[in-house]
Amino acid sequence: MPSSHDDDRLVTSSGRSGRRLPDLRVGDQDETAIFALAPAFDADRIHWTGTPDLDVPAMIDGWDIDAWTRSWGDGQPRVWVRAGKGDHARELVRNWCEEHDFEPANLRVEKSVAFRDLSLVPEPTVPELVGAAVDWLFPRTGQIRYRLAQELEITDDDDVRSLMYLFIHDLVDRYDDRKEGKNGRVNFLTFVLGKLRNWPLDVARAQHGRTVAADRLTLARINEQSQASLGRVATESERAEALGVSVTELREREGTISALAAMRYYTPVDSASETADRVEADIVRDADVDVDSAIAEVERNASLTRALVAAVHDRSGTGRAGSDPLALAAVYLTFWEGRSRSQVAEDLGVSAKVAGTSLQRGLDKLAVEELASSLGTDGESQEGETE
Amino acid sequence: METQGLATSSLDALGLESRFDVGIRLRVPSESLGFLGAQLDSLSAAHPASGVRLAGAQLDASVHRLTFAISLGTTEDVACETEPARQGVALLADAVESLAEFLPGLCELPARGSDEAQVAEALLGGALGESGSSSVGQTLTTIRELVAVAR
Repeated sequence: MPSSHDDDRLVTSSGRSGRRLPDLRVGDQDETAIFALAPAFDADRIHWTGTPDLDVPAMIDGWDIDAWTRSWGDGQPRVWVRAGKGDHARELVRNWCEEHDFEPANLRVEKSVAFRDLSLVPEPTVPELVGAAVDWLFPRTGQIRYRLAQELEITDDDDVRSLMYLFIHDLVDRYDDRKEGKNGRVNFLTFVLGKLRNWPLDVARAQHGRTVAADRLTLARINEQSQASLGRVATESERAEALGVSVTELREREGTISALAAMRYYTPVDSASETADRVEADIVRDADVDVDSAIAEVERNASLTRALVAAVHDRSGTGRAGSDPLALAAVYLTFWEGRSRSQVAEDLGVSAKVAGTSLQRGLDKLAVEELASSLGTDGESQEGETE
Repeated sequence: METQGLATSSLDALGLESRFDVGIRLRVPSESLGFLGAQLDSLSAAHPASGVRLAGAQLDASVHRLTFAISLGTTEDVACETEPARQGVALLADAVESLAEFLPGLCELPARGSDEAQVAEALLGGALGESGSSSVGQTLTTIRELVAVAR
């Protein structure tokens, strides 16, 4: 249960008014007392993928350094050692895997991350703490749940709460209550809310991987080539052939691409509506969480805007080649206002077919390089965790 | 989903023309408001007939977030790609180019009654006509007032 500070007002680091999120309580203990049972410290985290079920606890038992392990919600093991021991621990993992004929894929060290040993907290306090966090957050994160269940169709409505529980559970031992923002200690709900903003995208990437980015580039290239050589966009069968998939699978993949792209612009970074997202934005700014990524998002949006405007407005052209307001409107409504194709058609008073071709025309004109740059699909790994 | 900030107004339900506006947001440091005013001055001269209005404003200590609605005319203008719609696209293109240092990015228009919309309305001081659209010149006046306030 949260404590009774729900309506606390504060001024965020950007000078706007906001609300302090409540500290959580379990029974008669508040979160500060609970986290004090397992104090946070600086650690190096080692993780890898691709190994079958390994007895990781048995592995670290034999080490000559302090180490902790548990699996996250993604099923992959993590190992924490005290800060400065990460490189040594990585070699220990590598050697142990070799001895057991396993190949640890993408073995890496995240240095100086916060960690706490939750085994020091008596059961069932941690599950109850996570449950209290879910109880508070679930009704206040409607748009995030909408993205997961409706927009990306990653999970059913009924399962979002369970997924949120697992997501938050993974954050408990990463929460650093030593951090101070402008308004004092960054409490657990504030920390979690900052992470929740990227949760749908993380889940989407985990489910769809980098194939989405690769698909998008391949489709853009095949359309560009078709436009240049045949004067038209590639047909479905040509696009399917380019990806090496059936037309049915092509439609599924294109649906995923559209959903991911729409999600990116679903809530403007600087939105100041009266919704929960307003609270989230304030909190994120106040906690100094993800500020860099917010700025990067603004820059990406500006970059994509430039590309789109250049695509629909050619000063040297005439007619539609010079200016294409319908394509601009269709792309704008689809990606910045989250409207479906039928809604775009309704908004503009055109047929669904015209809405679709206008949208496609706008997208086809976008430069491939600009798209890739704007969407962050320039080949950098998306698997690394960020603290 | 928020619906009040959609680009198309709902006037057509009353049998009136429905206008289509595109939102564009700028991040303007306080010290750059004067430069923004000068750039808008140039835009005003180049596009005297195009509709633009200040649709939202978040006035922070250091960086103001200003949202402008650029009109592409009526939805029919957009659908038929008439001259007003093309002029709107041209204004948008010039704005994106000349205001590049403010990272102009397309955005959803702020919902009516939202904080930033109310601030914008207050800044405009009821100078808008019933259509809710103003000229670049009127918005320029508002920005000049903003500059004066900032000083």
